[in-house]
Amino acid sequence: MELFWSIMYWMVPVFLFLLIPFSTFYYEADDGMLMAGTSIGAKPNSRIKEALKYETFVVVIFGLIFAMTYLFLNETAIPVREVTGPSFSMGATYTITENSGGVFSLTQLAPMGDQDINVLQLNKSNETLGTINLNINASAFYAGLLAWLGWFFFALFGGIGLAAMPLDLILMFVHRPRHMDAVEFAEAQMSLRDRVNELVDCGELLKLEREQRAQEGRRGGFFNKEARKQAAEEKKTMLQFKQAVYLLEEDVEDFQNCTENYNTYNPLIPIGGLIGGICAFIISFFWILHIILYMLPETPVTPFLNDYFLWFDNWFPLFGVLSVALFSFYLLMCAVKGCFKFGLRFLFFQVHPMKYNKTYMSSMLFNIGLILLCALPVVQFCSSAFRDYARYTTINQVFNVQIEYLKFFGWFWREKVFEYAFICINLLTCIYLGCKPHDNSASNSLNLRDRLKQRSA
Amino acid sequence: MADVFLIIVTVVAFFILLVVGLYLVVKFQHPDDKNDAYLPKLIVILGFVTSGATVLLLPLDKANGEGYPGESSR
Repeated sequence: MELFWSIMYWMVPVFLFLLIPFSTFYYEADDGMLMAGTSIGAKPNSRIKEALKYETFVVVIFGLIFAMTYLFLNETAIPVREVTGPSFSMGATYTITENSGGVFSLTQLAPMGDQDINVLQLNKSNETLGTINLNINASAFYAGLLAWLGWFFFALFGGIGLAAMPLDLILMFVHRPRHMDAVEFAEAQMSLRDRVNELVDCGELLKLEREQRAQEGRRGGFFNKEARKQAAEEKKTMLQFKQAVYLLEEDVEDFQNCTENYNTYNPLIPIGGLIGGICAFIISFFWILHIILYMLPETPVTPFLNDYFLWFDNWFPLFGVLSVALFSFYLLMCAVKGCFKFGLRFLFFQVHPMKYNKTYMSSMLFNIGLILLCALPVVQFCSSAFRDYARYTTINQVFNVQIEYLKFFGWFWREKVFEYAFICINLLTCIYLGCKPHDNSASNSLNLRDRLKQRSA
Repeated sequence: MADVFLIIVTVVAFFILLVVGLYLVVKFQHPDDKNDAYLPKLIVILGFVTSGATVLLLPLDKANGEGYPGESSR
C-alpha cells in the first residue's frame, strides 16, 4: 500500500508541474509559419523547443519552492504519551492441571489474584504528553505541501459544489425542454428576424452619422463643450448597440439549440438528473451533518458516519468500503462541479471557463490542473473525517499523524481552519443559490419565448 | 491469498474513470481541436484518472486491511 501511495504522491506534482504546463506550452506554441506567410526559406520554429524553454522556467521556480520548503519546514512534532510497565518476570506464575480429555477450558485457570493487581498497578503512564521530533521523508512532505496548497482551492470549489450539485441536477429536470407549439415557434422566429433587421438598420445609421461627423471636421476637441457632448453620446449609443447585438446573438444561439436539438433529445437525461439530484442531496446533507457533528467540535459529538460504515461492514465485507468510496468520490465530483461552475475568477470574469463544445485544450488543461490540486485535499479531508473507520490504514499514518503535526502547515489542520472555511463557503452558496438558482435556459424554449417577447417589445 | 474481488473492483473502477475522462474531453472539446491536439487530450484524460485514483486509494487502503507497516493481521 505504501508503494501505491508513494506513486500517487509523486504523480500529482509530476502532472501539475511537468506534464500540464508542458502540454499547455506545446499547444500554444507558435511555429511561426502563419506569420511567415509565403516568404521563401521560412523554417518552422520547433514547437517542442519553445515548450521546453518555458517548461524549464516553471521547473526551476517550483523546484526552488519545493526545495526551500522541504529544507526549512520539514519537521514534525508528534505528541506521544510515555507508558512504563514492569517486565514479564515480575508477573504471577500459574500452573494448569492437565485435563483428561486434552482439551483446554477456562475453568482450568485460577482467577486473578493480588499479585496480578499489584503488577498492574505498577503500569504508569506519564500525565504530560511528550513530543517526538521527526523529519518526514520527501514524498510524505510533498503530499502535505500539495494538500495544504490545494485546500485553498478545494475549500472554494468543494464548498460551492457540495451545495450546487444537488440543485443543478434537480434543476436539470425542472427546466427540461418543453414543446413550443407551431404558432409560438413562428412568432419567435419572426421576432428574431425583425430584431436582426432593426439592428442592421441601426448599424447603418450609426455608420452614416460617424462618417458625417468625420467630414465636418474636428473643431476644438478637448475644450469644445459641444464636441465633447457629441462624442460622449456617440459612445453611449455604440455601447447600447453592442449590448443589443450581444443579446441578439445569445438569443439566436438559444433558438438554434431549441430547434436543432429536437432530433437528438434524450428524454431519459432529465429523469436521470432528478434521481441523481435526490441522491446527491442525501449525500450532501449527510456530509454537512458529519462535518458539523464530528469534525468541527473539539471532541466529536458522535462518530456518526464512522459508526454507520462499521455497521455496514457487518452485512457484506466491502459494503462499508464502497460507501466510503462513494462519499469520497462524491466530494471530488463536487470539486469538479464547483470548478466548472465558478471557476477561477479574476475581477468577476472567469479565467478559462469550461463550456460545452467550446472549450479549447488550454482551458481544459488548466481546469484538470485545478482538479488535480483538489485531489489530495479530498484525501486529507476524508482521512480525518473517517478517522475511526480508517484507523489501520497507511494513509492514517501519513496524514493524521505525520502531517497533522508539521511545524508550519500542521497549524492549519489542527485549528481546523480549512474545515470552517469549507462550511462557510457552503452556507454562502446555499443562500446564494436559494435566492438566485442558475437558470440554464439554453434548452428551455418556454423561457426563451418569454424572453424574446420581452425584448422585442 | 489475494482478494480477487477487490482486484476486480479496482480494475473496473480504473476503466470507469478512463471512460468518464474520455467523455469529459469529447463533450467539452472545441470543434477546432477535433482531430488535432492529441497530447493535451491524453494529459487531460490521464490527469482525471490520476485524481480519481488518488481519491479512491483511501477506500482501497481500508479494504486491503494491511494495517500499519510491520503489523500483520492474522
